[in-house]
Amino acid sequence: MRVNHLTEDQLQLVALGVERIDNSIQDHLNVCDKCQSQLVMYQQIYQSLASADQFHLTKSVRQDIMKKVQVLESSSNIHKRSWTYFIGLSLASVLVMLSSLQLAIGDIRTVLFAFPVLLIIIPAILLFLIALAQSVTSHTEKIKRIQYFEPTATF
Amino acid sequence: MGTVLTDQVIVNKVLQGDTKAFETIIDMTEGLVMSIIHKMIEDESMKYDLAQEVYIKAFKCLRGFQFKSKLSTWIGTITYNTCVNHLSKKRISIIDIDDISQYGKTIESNLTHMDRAYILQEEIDKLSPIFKTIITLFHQQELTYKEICKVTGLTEGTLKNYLFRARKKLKDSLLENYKKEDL
Repeated sequence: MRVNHLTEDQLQLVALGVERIDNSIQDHLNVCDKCQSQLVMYQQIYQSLASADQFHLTKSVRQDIMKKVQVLESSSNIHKRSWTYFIGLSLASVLVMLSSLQLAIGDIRTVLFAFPVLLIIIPAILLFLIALAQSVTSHTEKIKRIQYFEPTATF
Repeated sequence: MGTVLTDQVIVNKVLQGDTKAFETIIDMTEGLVMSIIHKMIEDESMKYDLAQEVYIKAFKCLRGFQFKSKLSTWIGTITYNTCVNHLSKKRISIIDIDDISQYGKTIESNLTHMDRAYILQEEIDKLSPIFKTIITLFHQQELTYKEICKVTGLTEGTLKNYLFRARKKLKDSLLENYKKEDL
């Protein structure tokens, strides 16, 4: 008589508990040692996998990560702050320029005429200052990163 | 009563500059991150460097996280991709289930004192990185099929097929070892 053993797929799903065990499967399992031992093997594999050791970060690696995160956070804050300073500085310069022109010339209409010309010169100077400040900032950050981002040699 | 922090609350805290909140993210995900790395990467010296790389990437890209999946799944994806990139640089295949010799260590013929868990661990180590990873994510980390698909980029059909093959491979190897033991 030909025996229909459970397929590998059925065995895996029955062991997982997701396949409903109908009567024919149960009847077969009751009499077939081969399928029974394979099912037990799958169940043992699943149990061992579920109870295997969990891996964790070591304390030093965790500290390194947090140090780097803090450096990244502070450098992004410096970046935000530097832009705020430059916008404030630009507005202040424009106001100072306008007031000094009015004091020097005395006539507000001449000042308003001369102002558009100065608007070209002042941004050019400011852009130069911004570029200079940014290169200084990025250089400082690079030094900080080199200091903190050395790969960990031991763990 | 303790407050359960949702992904959104934690991410917002970190984005507002609370770097301590990032430690909560590490607490929540280190098991997953380290399981993926341990299963994908053989080189012990690289494991913690990769873990650092994963968390730094996650921190830098956190603003781009769109809450379409769980935060842990998103970090799992970063971990998986970081490992795949590392392996591709080393030109190590991640899918080859049949070529076990590349990953496997020879098992001593005397298995009498080894317990089942140890033998199983040996057999898992012989599998190629992708199979080790998905079997751990499913059975140990208890991720759903959908979550594993998001992490690995596999389709559900491929994932189920890989899981089936990996389990069968483990079962066959274990049965073979037990037979050897009986002889």
